[in-house]
Amino acid sequence: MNAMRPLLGTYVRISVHGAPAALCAKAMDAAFDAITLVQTHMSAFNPDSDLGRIRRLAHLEPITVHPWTQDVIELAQAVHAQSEGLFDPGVAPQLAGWGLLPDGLSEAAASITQLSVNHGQVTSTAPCHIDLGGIAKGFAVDRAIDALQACGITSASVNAGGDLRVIGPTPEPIYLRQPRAAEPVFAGLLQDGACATSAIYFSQQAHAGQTISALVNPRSQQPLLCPDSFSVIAPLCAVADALTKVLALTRNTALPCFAHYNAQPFITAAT
Amino acid sequence: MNWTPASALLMLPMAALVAPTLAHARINIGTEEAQQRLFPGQKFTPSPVFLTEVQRDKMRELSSVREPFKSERVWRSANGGWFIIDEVLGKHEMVKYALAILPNGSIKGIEVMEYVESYGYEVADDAWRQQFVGKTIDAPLKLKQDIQNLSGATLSCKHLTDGVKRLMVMYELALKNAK
Repeated sequence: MNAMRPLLGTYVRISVHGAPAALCAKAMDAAFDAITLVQTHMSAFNPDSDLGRIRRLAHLEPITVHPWTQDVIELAQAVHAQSEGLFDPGVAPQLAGWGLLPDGLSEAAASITQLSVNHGQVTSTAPCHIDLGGIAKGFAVDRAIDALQACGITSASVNAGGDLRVIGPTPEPIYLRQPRAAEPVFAGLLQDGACATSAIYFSQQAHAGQTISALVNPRSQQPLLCPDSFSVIAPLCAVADALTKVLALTRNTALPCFAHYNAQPFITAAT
Repeated sequence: MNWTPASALLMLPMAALVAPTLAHARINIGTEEAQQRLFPGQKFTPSPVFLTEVQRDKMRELSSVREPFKSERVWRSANGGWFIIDEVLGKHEMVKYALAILPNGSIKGIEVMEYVESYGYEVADDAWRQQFVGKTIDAPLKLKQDIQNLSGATLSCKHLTDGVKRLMVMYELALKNAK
């Protein structure tokens, strides 16, 4: 059974196999609910989300956040550390300045390292505008898989606009979106794992005489403009999602952070 | 986790078995199925809506969707809710979707009924595919025409969001006060 709904700013698709229709339907509803919950708390577009409140208030007072928000921030900080700062959701001010995120207030560059998380409370050393767009989609996929499994589903896939995870006994063919090619590219067979891809073919655009994209180097604050696709296979989709940014910025598949997360990166040249 | 890249499969005879057919990411859900997903157990009555030119202009103005709305694709549920089917065409995707509106005017849910991504709008390099031309597909890893597991940069659902905006304008103008 398949279903697709607009969530997380993209098309989220869930496919469930090998269970009675009523159970599939119930499990898919639970999975979409989990994704909706991630969207509610981690949206960069809603000023009252956990992220919006962190941005406005965390430098003034501790902000109580949903346990999942704490999980994502902690994972983001871990990937930041493992990647020597190449993954950093603190690129939000640059994205906002380019009009890729709402309200481009002139804020200093931020970093996920400004945040401290403790028992569901977040504080910041300075006003901190972060965008979890580089990790929360993958995290939402993982929570949807949890929800399916909690309902007794053993074979399924969840795909949030290109960040996906599969569970089940059969290896699943994974394809890569290649908008300039006649068809998607077959990438390989994946069993019980996640695949995420970063590329600029949808986000590249002109802004004030400069070419920009949604992939920003946190060190230089410059946009990535390379047309290739950067994919990472990993056990968890949140990790795969975050590591695609590290791969895109370094083009180095031998970085220790990939092995640390049991991840397998690969680069697909633009056609 | 178990990952076998395509390059490794090319070394094996199995490679022939995983050649893609005409492959698109797509989904296909019928009207009744979408109705039951959005309003389980409800009965539906077709309720085509008559839109004046003024109302159509207003829908265009407030939503930036240009395609005309097909006014026969409106149903009323037994409990007074609305079920509306619409289509949007983006640069990269065609989406047919259903919108469910509760009797109080709030959105109950949105279900994509058909989704097809477009490819090949620029010159295609299909060298990889050519390796498999003429080989049949008859194997445990049988590929459907539908691609479930398509990874890539995130495609925005803005067109669908605009479509929903237009339908909510129509609801305000033409459905809200319907008997």
